Amino acid sequence: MKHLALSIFTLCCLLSIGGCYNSGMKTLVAPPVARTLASNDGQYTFYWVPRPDPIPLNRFYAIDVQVMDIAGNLITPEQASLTVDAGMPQHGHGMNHVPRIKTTKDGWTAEGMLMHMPGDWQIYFDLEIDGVSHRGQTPMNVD
Amino acid sequence: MNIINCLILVLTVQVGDAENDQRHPAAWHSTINELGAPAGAAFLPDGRMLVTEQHRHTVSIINPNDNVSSVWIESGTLHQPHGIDANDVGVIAVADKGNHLVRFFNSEGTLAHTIDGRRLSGKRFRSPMDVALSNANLAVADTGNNRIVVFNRNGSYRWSTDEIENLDLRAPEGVDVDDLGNVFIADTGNHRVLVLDSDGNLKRTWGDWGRFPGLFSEPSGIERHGDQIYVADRLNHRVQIFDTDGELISWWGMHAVVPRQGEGHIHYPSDIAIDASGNRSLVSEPFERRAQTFKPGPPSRPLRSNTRAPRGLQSHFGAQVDAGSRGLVTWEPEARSLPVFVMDRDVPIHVTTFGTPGEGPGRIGKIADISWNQRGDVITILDSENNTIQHWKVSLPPADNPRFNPEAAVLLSSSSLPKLPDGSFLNPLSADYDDDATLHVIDGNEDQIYSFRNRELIPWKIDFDPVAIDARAGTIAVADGRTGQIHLFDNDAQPQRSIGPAPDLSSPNPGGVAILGDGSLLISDAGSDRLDHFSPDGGHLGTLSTSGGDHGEIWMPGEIAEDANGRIIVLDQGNHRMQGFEPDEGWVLTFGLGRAMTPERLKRSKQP
Repeated sequence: MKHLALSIFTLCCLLSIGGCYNSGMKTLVAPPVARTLASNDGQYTFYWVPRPDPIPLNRFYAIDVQVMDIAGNLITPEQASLTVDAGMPQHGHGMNHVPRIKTTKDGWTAEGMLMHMPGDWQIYFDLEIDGVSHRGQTPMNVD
Repeated sequence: MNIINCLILVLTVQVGDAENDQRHPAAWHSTINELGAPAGAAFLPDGRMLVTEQHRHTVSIINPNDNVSSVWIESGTLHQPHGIDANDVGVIAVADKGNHLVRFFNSEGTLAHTIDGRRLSGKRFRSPMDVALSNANLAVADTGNNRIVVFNRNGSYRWSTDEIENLDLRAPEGVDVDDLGNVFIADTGNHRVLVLDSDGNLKRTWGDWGRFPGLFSEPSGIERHGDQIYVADRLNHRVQIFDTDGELISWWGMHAVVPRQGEGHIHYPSDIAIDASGNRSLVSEPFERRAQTFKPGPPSRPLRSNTRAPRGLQSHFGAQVDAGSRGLVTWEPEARSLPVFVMDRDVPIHVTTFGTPGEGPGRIGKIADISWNQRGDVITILDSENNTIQHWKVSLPPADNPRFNPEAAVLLSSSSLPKLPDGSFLNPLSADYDDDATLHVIDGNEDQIYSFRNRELIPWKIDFDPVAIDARAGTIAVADGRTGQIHLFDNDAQPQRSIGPAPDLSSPNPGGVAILGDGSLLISDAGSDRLDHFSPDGGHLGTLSTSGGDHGEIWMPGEIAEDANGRIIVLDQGNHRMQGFEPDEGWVLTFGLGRAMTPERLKRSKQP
């Protein structure tokens, strides 16, 4: 686990440094605790931080999200929109509460997330940019 | 109390209410069988009944005394007629869906005149699916244009719903109009009912997608009688009755336990008509090729049936199927999800189901077609209700450990369907990828084929009515909806040759077409339950199946695919299952979401 956290931190630092060379584009300054996942088509990377962490059972929580494209540029709410959802594919249902998405300076916050059952969930991030929606998803066991 | 108990309680209360209410023509009275996929239903002032027969391109008239039907408008004028209505002075209007026209006949069945919408409303009708006549107005469900258009009695244009802000109808299939000019709309794609006044002001709307009484799943037909509104609730297999405030009064209909079951069981109703007295209703069921009449009394709840269950599993598949690498995918309209099977064994293994109902990424409305791109096992879904094109990546399990995994399919991307030059969305009917990963799509509104390259639609030059498409090894096969021929093209849409139809096929209604690995071709016919096999040079090799519900028999077949074992898989939609054939052996497989049947298993099951 320590190694994973260190790797993520290192990756974030590298990406931040890498992004600095992209003149004219904003760069990602994700907190070192951010988790990362690639979109299913590999075009974007989602950096997300649940609050609180770990995700609680049957209590509302929030997720802060920042997104970077494959070239290392930060995607801002001016350029794209984001929805966050979660579901339990093995049970064929989603959350019983619709989260609200708030934009921040460099990203988004999904408030009102609720995992109302223990078990295996999937969290879905759908980024819509230039008329195309790209999905990233990650498994999450809640108990 | 758990959800199931709640459901039973609610249904019990509703059934109790319905059974105490005997005013409505909800008790089964008679069945008129062997119709050609009857879509529209209407009563004439003298009590005779009219039904449009989509597959025969005719209108039939039914005598109420003996329930015998006879052809009233011969084939030749109409193509896939859908909705029909008659007014008190003997004018009959027909939504001529396949020709994108509305036609008017006199009481003798003679064509009086035709409108295409262009001159009167500024826009040509696209796949109109219903018409309604009153003594004051005419309303047309211009389904492909997502609008209802209203004209006055002398044919002058009055208004259209696409001029009304925030109405946003989706593929409305049903309309009725009363003598005051109020318009009643079955907004099929939005699963709701709307009532507008004579000037187009919204008076009331109700309904949402769902199965509980009061909710809808593709409401398709609507009829006002007095202060009651009858709605044919297609995918819920029932008729619902509301008052003019949208309050549910009653409902009837019970899903058939097995296909062909009738006597009050209702299966995919398309339209409903009520006679002038309110004492008789007529429900058309194209899927069962029949219409049923009902008389006042408690809703029919038949306890038994003499019909025989077809063998094999019953799964509510749509008409679409495609195969790629080791897999095969179809969809379930009622669940709005897509099951995937691994096909490299004798018996298919169901390995995942993906998609959930609704709008937005990963959500499913109404799937027009599915295409499995073998490059990377990417499944493309064209959704004509949500106007989206989605790409899903499927990770099939290893051949030696084919386990079910609900997370085996992940959404790669989702975007809007491309738009036609006039700004409307493409209305996909059938689509397939060629070997160069170019998607070729048939548009049902324009009767046109487009190649979708670099997010741009490139139209083909054709002079026929395309309804189904399949691409393989540099060849694209397109089924012609009017002649039953298969037209062959290269990947650049250049015509090669035409083959078929089968010599004994009359009134063709192609459901699907496929190019097999050996270059031979198959075409299914939903109207006559056939599967015709042609050699690459066009010779008719034979008919692989007959009509019925037993193994090897098919009913309203949809699309065709060749699986990893070289079997021909047919979406046997009318029997709620898929079947596999081999040209030399005939039937080799029946399967759905569960147990499968093969000739070997069938032989064992018959042993004492």
